[in-house]
Amino acid sequence: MDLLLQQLYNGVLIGSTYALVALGFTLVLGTLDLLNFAHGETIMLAAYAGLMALLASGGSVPLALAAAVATGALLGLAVYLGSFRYVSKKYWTAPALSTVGIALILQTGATRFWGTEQRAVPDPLGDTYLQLGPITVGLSHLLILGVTVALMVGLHLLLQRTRLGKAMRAVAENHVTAALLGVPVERTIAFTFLISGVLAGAAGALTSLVYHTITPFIGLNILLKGMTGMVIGGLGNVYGAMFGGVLVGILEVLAVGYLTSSYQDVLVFAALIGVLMFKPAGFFGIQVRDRA
Amino acid sequence: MKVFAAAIGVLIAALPGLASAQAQEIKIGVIYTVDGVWGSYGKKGFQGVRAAADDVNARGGVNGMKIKLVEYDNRANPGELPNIVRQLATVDNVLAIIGPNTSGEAEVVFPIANQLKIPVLGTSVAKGGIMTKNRPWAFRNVMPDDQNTGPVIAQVVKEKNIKKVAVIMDVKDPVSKYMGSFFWPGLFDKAGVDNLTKNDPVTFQSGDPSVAAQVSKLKSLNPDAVVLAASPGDAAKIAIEIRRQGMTQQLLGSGALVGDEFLKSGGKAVEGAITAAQFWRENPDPKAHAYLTALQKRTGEPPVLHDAYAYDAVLAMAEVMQKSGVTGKHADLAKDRERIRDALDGIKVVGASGAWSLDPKTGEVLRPMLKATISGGQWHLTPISTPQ
Amino acid sequence: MFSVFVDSVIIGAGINVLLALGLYFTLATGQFSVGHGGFMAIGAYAAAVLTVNFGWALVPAVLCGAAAAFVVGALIGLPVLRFSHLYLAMATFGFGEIVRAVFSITDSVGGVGGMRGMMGTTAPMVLVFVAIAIAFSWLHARSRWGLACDAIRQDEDAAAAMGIDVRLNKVLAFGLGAALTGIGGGLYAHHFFFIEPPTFGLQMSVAIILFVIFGGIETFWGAVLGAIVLSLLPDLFRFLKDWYLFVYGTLFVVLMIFRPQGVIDRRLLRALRRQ
Repeated sequence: MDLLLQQLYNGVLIGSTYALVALGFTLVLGTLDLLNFAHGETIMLAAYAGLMALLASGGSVPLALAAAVATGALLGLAVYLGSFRYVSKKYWTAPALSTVGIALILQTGATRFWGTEQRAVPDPLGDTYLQLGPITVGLSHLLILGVTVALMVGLHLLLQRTRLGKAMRAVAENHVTAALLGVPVERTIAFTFLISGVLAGAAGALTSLVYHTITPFIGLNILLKGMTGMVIGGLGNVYGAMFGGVLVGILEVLAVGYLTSSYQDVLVFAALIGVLMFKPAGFFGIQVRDRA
Repeated sequence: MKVFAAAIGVLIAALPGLASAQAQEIKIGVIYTVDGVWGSYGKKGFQGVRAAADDVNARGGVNGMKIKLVEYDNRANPGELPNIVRQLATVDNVLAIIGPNTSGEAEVVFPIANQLKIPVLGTSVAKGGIMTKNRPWAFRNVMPDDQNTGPVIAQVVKEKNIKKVAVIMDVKDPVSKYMGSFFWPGLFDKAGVDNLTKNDPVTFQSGDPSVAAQVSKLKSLNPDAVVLAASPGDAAKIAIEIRRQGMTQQLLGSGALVGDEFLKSGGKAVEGAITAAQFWRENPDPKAHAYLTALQKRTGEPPVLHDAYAYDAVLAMAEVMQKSGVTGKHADLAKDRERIRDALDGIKVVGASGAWSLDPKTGEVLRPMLKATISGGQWHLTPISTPQ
Repeated sequence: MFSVFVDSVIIGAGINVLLALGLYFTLATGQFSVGHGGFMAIGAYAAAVLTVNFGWALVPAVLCGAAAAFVVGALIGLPVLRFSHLYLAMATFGFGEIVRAVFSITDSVGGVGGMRGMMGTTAPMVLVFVAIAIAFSWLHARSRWGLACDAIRQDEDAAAAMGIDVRLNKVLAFGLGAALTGIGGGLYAHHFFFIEPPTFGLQMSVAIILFVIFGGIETFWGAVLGAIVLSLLPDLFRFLKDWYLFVYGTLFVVLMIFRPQGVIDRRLLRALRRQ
């Protein structure tokens, strides 16, 4: 029982970072029908930016977060400009494939700059642990959970309570109608990419803290986990992505803890296909323009 | 006037011919890659071969002929290898090939080299079983992981009085999976150590971002020591998580872990870890020391296994070519390659990585073995036995 | 056939043409598959097991591998009939990963250690397969069957209203595409002498997609051209050294902005024909 509780805790912790990934990914998907394959590499580069800031400032967490978020936002805009703004939507695969190209550029750049070897990410909050019953909780864990929850709440408030949020929801519903109603569609789209980048930046900083290490190759793996979470929760559905991400984290941890990780991939992807086939709307319902 | 111009024209056309008639080159092919997960091996590999070629040429080359390296980077894409090997062997007409980066790539390169009858020497290929089907043209001067680790850890286990172990292995990496599924259980069986994960393995996959679940499982088993059957980066990550969860057990690993990545990325968590090793940077042998110093002078960084072994590969090639009277002429290509192959069988070398030799039957390397411990944030190596 | 090196280049390009045509057939009905690496794996492993473990000759082994891939392709084609683009992409991606994972845990074909010992692909063999595949594609494009596929790609509902059996065509497209890709896989295994599960993962599926997208998605000639050009690129652009991957990525970003339909499209084809 003790072990199970610890595992569940591990799962929630990891899952919350997946949720952030899924959130950023699903925002762009919901508004634009775009699979942004550069999202994973954006997260990776933001993580490196955070690490550099952490090291340069001698352990300042706020600075690291700021650097990561800024990098994520910038890259989000870059993807908007490079893969979306000037790419004809007539061929629906074109923007997605362009992001594949951007992902390649970003990853190659990272390996040139930081090498291919893994690096340690120092724990800025030291080795302090609390013992909550059978569960070992690190201070940095609380930081991660805190930031993740704050971001989710912030996103919710943004979408429901602000003009920008309303514009984003309108554009996600239908571009043409939104334009007719006076919504500045192009600008809203740019903002969506920006916010998705911010979420990616936060995800990058937090994942490198959770995993204590960083390599230029984490991008794809994290993206796949986030994508699975997104599908489980329902494409384009923000609340679904939060739920789905955490669920994937828990499932993964339980699978590894109680089965063997050889079957991990098979199970995760079988689950993905299963959800697509039997519950295509995810658990929370889809909100993309392109219904199944 | 026209005749004069024509004469100049003929002279200019003949210049290259004149030039090549004077400088016969010894061409050695090199295949590595600086891209991909193992890019650091390739980066060091290129540095090592270039340093050695420069040093050998500075000493006059091979019987007066300069070594020319023909380098290819396959960009972490095995798909480029069939063309690259064939280009080296039949278009560039090199005498021998050094490389490639990894065992997976060697699985493609070695059979082709064997088929085309050109010697190939691997310097960072650690997977067992590759050599048998690719003789007589394939060689390697790096010891496969299992061969290196057995005697060393058997000794450690006795010294430290370790009775119970738990193994965590990477099931996505062929070498780690083999080590975790066959090698380590076999070793502990023979040493009479209780392997707690024998029937219920604790596994993960390369690049898995989190190993918290697996480590929690290890913790619950309460072993005396934990064996990390993983690549250096992942092993460091596991070590960090092990310490985070409050475990203080002895960490053990194979020779694959030695290097900067495990040390630096692991930090405090890997203090006290013990592994096997095969490359000894502090080798007191004066000849080895001289080569290491020369290598460091060229690269500007302390040597590691990958550049030292690559350096020695070129040294060995140069020695072999010198002694067997390789001519480097195009007409002698097949003969030269045979000479090199014959001379590599059973060769004994003293290079940057110390004294090593190649077994004439298997093409595998025989080297002294070392025990490596991390203490005070540094690797400390001590030899334990010498083969033959 | 020619020199050792040139033969190797021809074989490599020819295999990629088969892979690309395999994807094209599925794409022709509007079904965008991100998991064709999985069909390639099935073709590769099936052919490898037959030649290495049972001593079959290469060509029958490859054809058997193609048959196995066809069956799996058709089976995959059934449940995804109703999926929209996005869902299909994700489901096929999941399929590709499952295939890779399954081979990783199947120790009888080497598991993660891979399988070795295959050999025997020759340039004439590959060229014959490619010629047949191109002839088949050409006939398909001019036939009613080809028109039906086109109609389905443009608008499924309209096609159904016109009496086209959409379901049959879509499933057939999956099966056929899988079979062609499977042939490429079988020949690949015997050219590379060694295969392991990661070879056939997402990177491979994306590479195949890039062949088709680059060359042109509107006609099968695009797949052929894209495969040939992108196969020759690494060898032609070797002088780029460290910069190759950057250039490759940038190429795609730029291409998607200026010519998202790929190099060859219907208009270009018509213009070339008029000359």
